[in-house]
Amino acid sequence: MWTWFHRLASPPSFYRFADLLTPWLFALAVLLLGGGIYGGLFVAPADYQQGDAFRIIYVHVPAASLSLFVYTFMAVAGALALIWRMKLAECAVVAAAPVGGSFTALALLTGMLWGKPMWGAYWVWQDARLVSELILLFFYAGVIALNSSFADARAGARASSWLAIVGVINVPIVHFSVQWWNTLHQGSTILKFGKPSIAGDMLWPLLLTLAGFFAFFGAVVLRRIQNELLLRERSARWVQDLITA
Amino acid sequence: MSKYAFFIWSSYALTLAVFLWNVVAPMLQRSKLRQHLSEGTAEPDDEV
Repeated sequence: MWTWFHRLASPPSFYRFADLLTPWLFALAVLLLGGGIYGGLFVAPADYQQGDAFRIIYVHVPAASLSLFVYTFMAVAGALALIWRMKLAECAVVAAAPVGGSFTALALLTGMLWGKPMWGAYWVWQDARLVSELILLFFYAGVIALNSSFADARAGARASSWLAIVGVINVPIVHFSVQWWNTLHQGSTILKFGKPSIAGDMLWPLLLTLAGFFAFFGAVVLRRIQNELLLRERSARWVQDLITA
Repeated sequence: MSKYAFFIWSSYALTLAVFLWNVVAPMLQRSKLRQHLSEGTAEPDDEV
C-alpha cells in the first residue's frame, strides 16, 4: 500500500494517474450536476416560507462547502509540502488556490443574490458568516499573490503553504459562525450533528449537486496539478518525451 | 419562479460562468505551456 502511494507521488506516475482519472471525474460531475440541478429547479417543491428563492441552495451550499473543503485541502497539502518537501504537495497547494477562490467568490455572490429577496439587503457587515467567508476569499487571494511574487516556484509554493496553514484557522470560524454569533444567515442544513433540517424531496438534488461540485473540483485540480508538474519538471526526461510525442 | 426569477437565474448563470472558467483556464494554460516547452522557452516565472 505504502509502496503504491510512494510510487504515485512521483511526478510522472501522478501525471499518468491524473490523465486516467480526470475524464471519469468530469463525466461523473456532469451526470451528478445534471440530475441535481434538474431536480433542484424542476422537481423539488417550493419552500413554504421562501418560495422558489430557496432553489439557490443547490448552487450556493455546494460552492460554500467547496470553499471550506478546498482551503482545508490546501492546508493539509501545505503541511505535507513543508514537512516532507513533496513536490506534488507543493503543486497541489498552488493548483487548488484559484479553484477554491473562484468557488468562494461564487458562494458569496449567490449568497448575496439569495440574501436580497430574503433579508432585503445584498450584504450585511454585521453578519459573521458573510464577513468570515469574505476573509476566506482574501486568504485565497493572498495564497495566489504570494505564490506569484516569487521567481523561484518552490520558494513561492512553500510561502503559500505557510499562509494556507495559518489561514485554515478561519475555516471552523466560517462553519460555526452561525452557532457562535447571532446572524441573519440560517444554520447548517446538512453538515451538522443530527438529522438534516430539509425535506427529502429537497434533499436529494442537494446531495447530487454537492457530489457533482466535489467531482468537478477533483477533475480541474488534477488538470492544474498536471500543468504545475509540467512546468517544474520541464527539464526531466519524461516531460521531454511527452512534449515530443 | 415568479418574482424571484432574476435572483435564481443570475445565481445559476454565475455558477455556469465559474464552471466554464475552471474548465477553460487550465486548458489554455496547458496549450501555452506545451508551446513554450516545445520551443524551449518556458521560464520559472511563467504563469501556469
